[in-house]
Amino acid sequence: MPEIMGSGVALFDRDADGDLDLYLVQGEGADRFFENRGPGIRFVEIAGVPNGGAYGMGVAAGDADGDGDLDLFRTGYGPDALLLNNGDSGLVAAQGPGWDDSWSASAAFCDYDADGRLDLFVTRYMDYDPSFSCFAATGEQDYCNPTDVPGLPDLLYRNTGDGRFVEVGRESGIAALPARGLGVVCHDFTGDGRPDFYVANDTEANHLWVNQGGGAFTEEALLLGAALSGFGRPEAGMGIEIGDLSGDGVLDILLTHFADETNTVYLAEPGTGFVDGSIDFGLGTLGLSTTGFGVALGDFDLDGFLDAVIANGRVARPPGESPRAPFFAQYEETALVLRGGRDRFEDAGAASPELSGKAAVGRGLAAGDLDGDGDPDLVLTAAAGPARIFENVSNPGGNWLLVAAQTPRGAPDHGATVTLRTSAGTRVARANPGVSYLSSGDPRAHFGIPADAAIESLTLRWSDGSEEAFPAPAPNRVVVVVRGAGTIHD
Amino acid sequence: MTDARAFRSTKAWNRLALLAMLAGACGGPEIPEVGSDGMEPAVREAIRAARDALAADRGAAAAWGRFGMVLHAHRLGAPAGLAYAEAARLDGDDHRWPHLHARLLETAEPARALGLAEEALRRNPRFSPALALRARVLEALGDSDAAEAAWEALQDAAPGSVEAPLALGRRRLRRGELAGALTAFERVVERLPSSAAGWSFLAQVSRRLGDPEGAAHATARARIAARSASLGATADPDPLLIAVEDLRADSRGREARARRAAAAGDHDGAEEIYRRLVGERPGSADLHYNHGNALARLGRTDEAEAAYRTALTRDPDSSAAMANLANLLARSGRDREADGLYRRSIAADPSHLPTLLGASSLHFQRGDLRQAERYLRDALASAPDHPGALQGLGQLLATAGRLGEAAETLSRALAAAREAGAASGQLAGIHFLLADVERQRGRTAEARTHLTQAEALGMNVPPAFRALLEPER
Repeated sequence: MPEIMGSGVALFDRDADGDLDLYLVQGEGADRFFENRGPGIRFVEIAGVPNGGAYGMGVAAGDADGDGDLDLFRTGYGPDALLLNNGDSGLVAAQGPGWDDSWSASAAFCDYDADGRLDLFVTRYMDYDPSFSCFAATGEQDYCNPTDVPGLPDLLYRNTGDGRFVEVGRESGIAALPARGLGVVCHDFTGDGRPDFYVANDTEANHLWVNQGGGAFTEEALLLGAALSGFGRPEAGMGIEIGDLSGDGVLDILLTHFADETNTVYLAEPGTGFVDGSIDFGLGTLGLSTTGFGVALGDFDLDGFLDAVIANGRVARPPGESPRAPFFAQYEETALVLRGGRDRFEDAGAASPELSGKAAVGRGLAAGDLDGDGDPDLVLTAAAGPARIFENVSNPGGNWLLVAAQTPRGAPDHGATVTLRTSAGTRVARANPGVSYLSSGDPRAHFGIPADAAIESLTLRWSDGSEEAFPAPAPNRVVVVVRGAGTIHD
Repeated sequence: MTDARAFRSTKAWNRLALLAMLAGACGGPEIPEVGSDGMEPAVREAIRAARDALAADRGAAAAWGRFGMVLHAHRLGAPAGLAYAEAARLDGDDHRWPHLHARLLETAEPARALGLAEEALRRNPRFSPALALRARVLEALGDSDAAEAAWEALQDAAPGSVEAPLALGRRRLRRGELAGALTAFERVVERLPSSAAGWSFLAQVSRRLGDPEGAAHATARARIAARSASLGATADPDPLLIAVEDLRADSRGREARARRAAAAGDHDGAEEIYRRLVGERPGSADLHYNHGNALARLGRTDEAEAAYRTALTRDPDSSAAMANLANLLARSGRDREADGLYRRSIAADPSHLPTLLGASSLHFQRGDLRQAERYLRDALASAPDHPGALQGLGQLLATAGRLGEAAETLSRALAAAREAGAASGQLAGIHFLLADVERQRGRTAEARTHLTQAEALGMNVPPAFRALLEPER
C-alpha cells in the first residue's frame, strides 16, 4: 500500500544562493537531491541520500538546528530521519534517539511554543500490516481501502534547543485522537497569536489542534466547522493548502479528496469558524471525478487572484479493465488546473495542456519560483513515474512580489503571514512552505499584482503573533524582511 | 479513498455504448459483454447468471434491470448504465431504473443524473431517495434556490428524513438564521442520535448562539459518534441501493453482508456467510474471529472456541480473539484457562478494554474484588468515561460496601452512558444499581427516584424492590 500513496518533494534553498534546490523523496532506494544551476530551469544532481530502510513518503524543510540554514525531515513507512544541512558536506542524517518507525506521512516545522526554535508536527497514516490482502469489488487484488486499517495518533516533537527533539504527543493532547492523518499545515487559524495545526485525515473527520498555550492543544474542528464537508460527511483528506480565497484578509483552507468528494474550500470566518464554500467556488462539480493529492494555491497568472493546481491519481483500479492494461497506467489521472476569480474557480486546463493533458499517478506537488522570473513554477511527483517540472509560461499580464520573511538568524519564519495592500485591494499570503501533500514548497510569500495597481504597504504578522510594518517595496523583486529589523532589502 | 462509485468512461466502454446504440436502432441493444479476467469466480458466476437470465428474456425490463444491478454491485458502472437505460426504455412506469441510473451518475455526470432523477420522480413523485438525490445534485450544481425547494419537498414527503433537516439546517446556518438551524439540527439528532454531522453542526450553532455548555455537549457527542463509525450517515437509506449492495458476490461484499446480518441479530445468517468465507480465505484471522462471534451468539460454544483458537493461530497477538475466547471459557467455568488468556491479551495490549472488562468480571465472580478493581481502574485510565467500566466499578464498590464511592461512580456511569447515547436497558441497569446503593445508604427518596426511572426505561423491577415504589403510587 505505501507504493500507491507516493512520495513528496521539497523546494528549498539548501546552499543559500537565493534559488530553490530540489529534493525528491524516493519510495525505494536513495532519495535524490538536485541543485538549482539556473538561469532558467536547470538542475544538476548532487548526491543521493540513503533512505535508512524506510519506504520514503514526505519531506519538510526548516532550520531544525537553529544554525540559519535549512534542514530536512523525511518521513516514511519505516524510520523517519532528520537530515541536517552541513553546508559543503551536504545533508547528513542526524545522530540521536530513533525517530518514529511506523507509517508517517506529511510533516510541518513550526514554532508552536514561541521559544524561537522550530518544532515539528508529523502526521501518521495507519497501523498497516503488509500481509493483509485487499480486493476490488470484482474480486481482483487491489490496494486496501483505508477504512480497513486503523489510524495512528500524530506526533508532535518539541525542539529542546540542544539538538534534540522530544515527542510530546501525549502531554500536548494530540496523541488522544488516533486517525489516518495525511496532510498537515501549521497556521494561527484562531487569530490568537499562537500557531495551530490542521490535519487532513483520510475517510475520517479532520483535526484542528488549537494551541491553548503552555504546550497544550485541544481538537476543535468539529466545533469550528472544519472537520466534515458542508454536507456533514467525513472525506478522504489528502493535501492541504491555505490562502486568502475570499479576499477578506484571512487565510482559508483548500483540501483535496477522493473521487466523488469535492476538493473542499473551508472559508474562514473570523470569530465564527469555517464554512464549506466549495460549491460557491465551483468545486461542486469541478474535479469531482478525480482523486486529488498534492495541491498548490498561487497567483500563477499574476492577475491578483489565487489559482489552484491539484495533482490527481487514483488509488484503486477502475473496474472492468483491470488486468490487461499496464499496471500503474490504470491509476493515472490528469491534474486539475483552476483559474481563480473574485469568488470562483473555473477550469483552465485547456491553457496548460502539458499539465492537464498528460496523465500520471499524481501525488506530491510543490510550487515555487524555480527560474527566478517572479511567477510560481511547479514540481509534481507521481507514484511509479518520474517527477515532472512545469515552468510557468502564463502570459504575465501583471507584476509580482516575493517576500522572504526571516528570523533574525536568517532562516525562514514559518507561519508568518504577509499582507500586501495595493491600489487594487489587500491580499494576504503565507510565508510557510509546509503545505500540500508530503511536500514542502517555496517558503517565500508570493503576490501577483494587476498591471495597473500600485503597492501601498507591506505588513508582516510573524509566527510569534507580533506585527511589523515595512516600507512599500517596488514590484517585480524578491525582498527580504527580517523580524524585528524594521527594514527591507533585496 | 473508499472503493465505491468511480465510473470513468474508458475507450472500451465508449465502444460498447456505440455498439449498443447501433443495436438499439435495430430493436434493442446487445447484452453488454463484460471482461472477466481476474475476477473472483463468485463474481464471474453472478454476472454470468444474470446475463443468462437476461438472454432468456431480452424483452423484459426486470431482467435488464437486474443485470444492471448485478453490474452496479460490482462497480461496473458503464455497462450497468446501459442496462438500466434499456430497462427504463422497456418499462416506462418503473421508477427504479432511472433512479439507479441516476445514482450511478450522481457525481460523474450530475447534469445527466438530475434528468434521470426527474424521470424517476415523474414515475413515482413521492419516492424519497429520488427526491433526496435531486436535491443533492441541484446543490452540487450550485442551483441554490432549486436545491432549497427540493430539500423542502423531501421533508414533506419523508417526515422521518435525517438528510432533509440536515441540509436545511446547513443552509440556514450559512445564512446566519441560527434559531432555524438549531431547530433543524435538533431534529437530526433526535431522529439519528448517532449522527456526528448533526451533533457537529449543533455544536457550531450553539457556539454562535453563545451557549458554550451546549456547544461542548454537542462536540462531545459528535466525537463519540465519530468514533462509532456512523459518521457517514448523512444520507437517508436508499432501499434500492441497499438491494444493489446485497447482490455483491465478492468476498468483501459477502463479509459486509455478514456484518450487517450480525448487527441486525441474524446470527444464523451471519454464521452461514462466515462459514463459507473462512473456507475460501482460511488464512484470515478476522474471518475466523467473526465466525467465532457468530457461533458464540448461537450458543455453539465448542465450535466458537475452535474458531477463536484458529483465529489465534493466524494472529497470535489478537487481543480481541483472546478476550472473546477467555469470556467464553469463563462462562463455561474454565476460570484458570480464561485467566491465562486474559493475562496474555493484556501483555499484548495493556489498554485493551474488552479484555480488562472481561478479566475484571472473572475476578469479581471469583470474589477477588481487589484484582477486579485493579483491572477496571486500568480500563478507566485509558477510557475515563467508559460507561461499562464505570458501571462495573460502581457495582464492585457497592459489593465491597464502599457505598459513597459506589454512588459517585455510578452517577458518573449514568452521565457517561447518557452522553454516549446508551440504550435504555443499560441506563435502566445503572439506575437500578444506584437505587440499590441509595437504599443501602438509607436515602429512600433518592432510591425511589432511581427505581422509578429504571421502571420508566422498561425495567421489570424485582418484587423485593417494589415496596420502595409504593409511596409514589
